Amino acid sequence: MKTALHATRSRSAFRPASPSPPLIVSCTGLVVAHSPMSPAISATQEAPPIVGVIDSDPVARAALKTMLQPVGVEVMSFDTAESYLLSGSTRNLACLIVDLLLPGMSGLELLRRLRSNGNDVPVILLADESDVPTAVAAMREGATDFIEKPYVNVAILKQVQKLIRGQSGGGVIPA
Amino acid sequence: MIKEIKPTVFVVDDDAAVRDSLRMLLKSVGLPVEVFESGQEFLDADRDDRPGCLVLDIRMPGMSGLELQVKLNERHSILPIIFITGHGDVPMAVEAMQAGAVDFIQKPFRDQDLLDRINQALEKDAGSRRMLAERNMIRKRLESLTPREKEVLDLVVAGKANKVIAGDLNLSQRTVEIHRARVMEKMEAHSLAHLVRMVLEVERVEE
Repeated sequence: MKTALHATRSRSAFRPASPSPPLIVSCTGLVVAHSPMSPAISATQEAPPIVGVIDSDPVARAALKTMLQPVGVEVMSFDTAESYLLSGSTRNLACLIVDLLLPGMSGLELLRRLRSNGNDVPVILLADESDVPTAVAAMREGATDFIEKPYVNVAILKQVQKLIRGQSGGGVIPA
Repeated sequence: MIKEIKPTVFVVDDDAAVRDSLRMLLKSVGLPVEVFESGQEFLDADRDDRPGCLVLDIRMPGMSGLELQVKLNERHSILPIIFITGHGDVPMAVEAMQAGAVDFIQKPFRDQDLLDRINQALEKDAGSRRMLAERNMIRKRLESLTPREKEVLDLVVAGKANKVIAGDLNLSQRTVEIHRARVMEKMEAHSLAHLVRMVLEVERVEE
């Protein structure tokens, strides 16, 4: 079972190659993602949860946005950790999806900065060509997830849906 | 509570050579060590509530290290786990860390690296145990309160003044003062802030 999960995470490439889920527009005009995952967040509630995306690659940002919007979240994109920190929106995000290798402050440095400021927003780190020590360091710093590229959208979507439903997936078990 | 059990490093690895070398390494720095050749043997020995940490091989025949971790979590064990692996990958490391492991080390590692991480894990364990012991002590003190004292405590913690509490509970202000003094005494609180901190400490966990 574990091996199957790992296979899904690394088998196919991210971006256009993996098709975004077909959309169904319900009679109320709401866009609902048709995917094997749990039902999309109902848009009848107040404001949709906001997911922050920090990636220097505009193509990756656009792909993440396309992928995430159908599940009923609003996406705010930033090209660097610095522009995110300066945006003043550090407190009200449901989660942050951060590329590990950013120009300037790295994803890991940003994570450290947030945690030392007492900000416990869930952070999903994305990494090209990573290694175990980096992943372990990120998790020790309090990352919720660490996903390798090329990754399939499913791994990210799953984690985001889990987070916006309010069940944190990671970290240390409270003693 | 009074007798301190010395923290022990538990090692679970199916490879006898690894068990022996870890035993020697740990003994050489004066750390008590117990080794087990399988996850099942470790579970059967009922060591998971002892102070210390667990150095756990991830790939073993039968119960894997990750499976043992799940079983220990089900038992509400707080023993910090350091995984060691010959060929781990990122998803495996992330899964182990998400399930609460404190570390994940790839072989070959330098002895000193492992010892450093073991020491960190032992410190973490000692910290968790101190916190748990303190919470238990606070709970015991709370249980010693009478229902009336408990009512007064809740209102005090909610920041209400004696006069308001007297009104809420339909008591004289003098009676509230007496209850309040008894609460402070039984909770061994040296200030209102200390009292509030103790109550929040326990409530935060029970939520």
